[in-house]
Amino acid sequence: MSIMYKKIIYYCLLLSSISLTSCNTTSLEFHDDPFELINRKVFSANDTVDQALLRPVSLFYRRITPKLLQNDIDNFLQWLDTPNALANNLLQGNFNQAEKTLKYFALQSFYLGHVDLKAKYGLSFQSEDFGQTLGSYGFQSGPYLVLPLLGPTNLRDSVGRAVDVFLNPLNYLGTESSRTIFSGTRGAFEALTFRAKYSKQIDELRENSIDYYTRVKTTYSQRRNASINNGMIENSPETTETIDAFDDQFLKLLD
Amino acid sequence: MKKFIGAIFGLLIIMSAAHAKDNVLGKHAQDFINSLSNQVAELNQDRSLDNATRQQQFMKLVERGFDLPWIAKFVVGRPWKTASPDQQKEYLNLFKNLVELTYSKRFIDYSQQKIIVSGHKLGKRKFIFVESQLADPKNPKANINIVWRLVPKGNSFKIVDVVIAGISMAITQRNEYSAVIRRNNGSFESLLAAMKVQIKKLHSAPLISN
Repeated sequence: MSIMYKKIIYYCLLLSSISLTSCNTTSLEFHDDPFELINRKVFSANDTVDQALLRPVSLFYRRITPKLLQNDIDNFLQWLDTPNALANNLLQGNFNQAEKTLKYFALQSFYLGHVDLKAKYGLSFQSEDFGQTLGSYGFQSGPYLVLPLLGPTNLRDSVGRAVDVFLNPLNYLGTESSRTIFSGTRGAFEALTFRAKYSKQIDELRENSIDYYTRVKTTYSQRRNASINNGMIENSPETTETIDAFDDQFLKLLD
Repeated sequence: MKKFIGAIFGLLIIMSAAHAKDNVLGKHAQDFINSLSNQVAELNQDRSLDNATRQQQFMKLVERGFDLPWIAKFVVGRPWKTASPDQQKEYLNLFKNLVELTYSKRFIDYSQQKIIVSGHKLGKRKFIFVESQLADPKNPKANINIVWRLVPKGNSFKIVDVVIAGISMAITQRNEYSAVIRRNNGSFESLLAAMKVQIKKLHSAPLISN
């Protein structure tokens, strides 16, 4: 293993241990933002790039790209993510979902993900990452962070993101330069398709906020909590358990 | 021994009666959400109304269905208690105005989608949760879970929060308002000023349609 990879693993472990003892932002009242000053600056810079570049390009992409091709790209990107989802299903002990993910990956691989077979074979796909796995083990989210261009995250999920790079075997294919180019292109397309898909919701969030930074922070944090519990998200069966947890935290705010 | 069995039996009857009562309450809460969403759908389908009238009628439904003063106080949190009566009154008016501007515009945008109620759960204290999905007929795979938090009020209910895909609208707004007050040294007046700026911005913004 190269020295660079060893350094990355070392820093991931160091950050994880900090995350175990750092501030808890799993509660609903998100005051724990020790880096708020710099987060706001980075957020503002990201917002400028979003408004000046990503938003218009994503709208243009959506307007000129045929719907079939857009779906094809979405399916391919989702398929690339499947090994990560499978690894994290297993790490979380969610063998039921792991089976579904494996079936999905196996069938989709015949077409390298380019054909959506979910409806035809009754398959389902649920995105999972190492940040969610750490969350399921009880690791606190740690301080909220806003990364340049990458956007909102927290200490735990940043570590998770780095680990996910190693978990996906597709990231080991090809030469180092081809992997770098592929990784960069994939990242750009993921940002583009995400922005295009949720353009209306993001614009509404921006338009209806008194404090856009806080709105994004709190929306991100709640959404991550929900995805870690696999509750209250699209077609999730665990909504009832999540409601109990939500109720407890809501009631604390009443007192 | 007979007394003991009798006591246990009596307890079981009381528990099952309470459970049945809770079930009835939950079912009524579901019916309330169903009825409200049907009224919204009917309003959307009424082609005889212009947009302005439709938005006004929609706001009447919102005021009937939601406990806006309760939500407003929850959202601002502890600073409510230290605000003057004039500030409180102004805040409630501004809050209602913001809700009207924010949601009546989106109501038309989301007119094709339908709420499908799927169940209920009794929360702690007096809260009742109604589970539902927001279904888009054009994209059935993208249904979104919505949970409504209700309180009984008289013979009916009032909605005090809506949780959409794990995101509580009340909590989100509370964090936002807290941040505005906190960043302005605890000034309640700063929140009122920010709300006025937001209202002005929304008045001049076109309908978002990408």
